[in-house]
Amino acid sequence: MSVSDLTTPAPTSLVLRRTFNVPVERVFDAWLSPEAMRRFLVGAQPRVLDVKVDPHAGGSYSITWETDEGPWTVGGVYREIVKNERIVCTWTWEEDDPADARETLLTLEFRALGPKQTEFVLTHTNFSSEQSRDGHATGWTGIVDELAEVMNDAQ
Amino acid sequence: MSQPAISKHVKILEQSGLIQREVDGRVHHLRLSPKAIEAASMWLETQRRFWTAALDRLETFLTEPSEKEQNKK
Repeated sequence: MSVSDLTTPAPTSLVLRRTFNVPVERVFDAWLSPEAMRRFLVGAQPRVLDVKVDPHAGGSYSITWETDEGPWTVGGVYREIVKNERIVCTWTWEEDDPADARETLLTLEFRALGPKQTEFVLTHTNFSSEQSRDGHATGWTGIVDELAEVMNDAQ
Repeated sequence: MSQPAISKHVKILEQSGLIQREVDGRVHHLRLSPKAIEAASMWLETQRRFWTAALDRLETFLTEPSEKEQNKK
């Protein structure tokens, strides 16, 4: 068995896939609507302090929750918005010390399976640059294969 | 894979904190760093919980209006 079979795009990428029984535009619109985001992104907390969305490539967003530990804010910049297809943005939790803040990348993909059925894929990776992530993934996969070969040869 | 390519990949893994290098004369010892891997897996688990809850609520949010329509009938 090749050890690299175990890795998805990179060791630190999360991929979630869902099918919703509603038209694709309803799923897409929900991700750029502050009213909708208040309902589903912040539902776990008793109160939302703020949701700001500037929905175009280069525009920014921020979401603030009220928690027992004080306000939490996440924000980022939209890198790509393709209606009913794709939203790519950075995702960074605000930290007490800005030096601790780490930019991550969120990719949302939408695909109409039928008039009232939508496939949705969320990819959250802790490398903010796609190139850097791909570089790491290639490096990781390559080295793991190489190590496996070296170990097999040694036996 | 060539020797320079292996070196490059090892360096990337080293920079990412996934492996640690110890140099003993001409010999380089490489060791997986359990802490970095644990941190990566904790990050994944936190995101998974956050997004799974959000997508559950999104599903509820998306299907609510159609439930209302059904109630009207």
